[in-house]
Amino acid sequence: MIELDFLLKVAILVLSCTIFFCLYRAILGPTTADRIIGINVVGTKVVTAFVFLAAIFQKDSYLDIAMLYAMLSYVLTIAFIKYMDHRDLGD
Amino acid sequence: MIYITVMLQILAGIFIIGGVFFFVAATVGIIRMPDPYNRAHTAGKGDSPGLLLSLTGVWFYWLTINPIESLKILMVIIFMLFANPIAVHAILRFCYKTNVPWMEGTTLHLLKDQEKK
Repeated sequence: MIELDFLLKVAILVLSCTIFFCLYRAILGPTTADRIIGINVVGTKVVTAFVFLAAIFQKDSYLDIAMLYAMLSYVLTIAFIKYMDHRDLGD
Repeated sequence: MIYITVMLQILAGIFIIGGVFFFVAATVGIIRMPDPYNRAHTAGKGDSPGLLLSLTGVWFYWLTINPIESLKILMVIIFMLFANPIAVHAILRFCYKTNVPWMEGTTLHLLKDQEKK
């Protein structure tokens, strides 16, 4: 429907603006933990934006990209924490 | 049948608006909170319900278009329902182990009291 398309586009715009504010925390954050928090939140928002895009264009292949990005952002956060903690990725 | 479609789309709109509200609240918390513990708390509390609400809304919308493909959205929801709190928990544990300074006026150190016993 046309109204829901408009709502989804506005939602993507709002999400993009908030992603920039999160990048502010990820770049200028005083400690390492702040940067990890910023990157984690950006990953979640990008997943949501991909699902919105799939609903706008009505293409289901975008959902695969969203699923992959969700798993990748989770692995990225855990790997980054392990590396900063032990200076090593472990076994 | 047309009534079900319209109802599902109205529900989808309400859920998506709620999810975006949670995302905006999480961002305000990440910018304004004073120390990394509070920031991680706000990020975890605002992110998980935001993602769950907005993806549930889009799932209602996909049910009216293509019900079988919408199962992929359910898979994303179930994965993030477990992955996001675990990631925030790992971040907080990393903060505590590397002795990130607390906010001024913090009086409740439950984890430190447990270690003394």
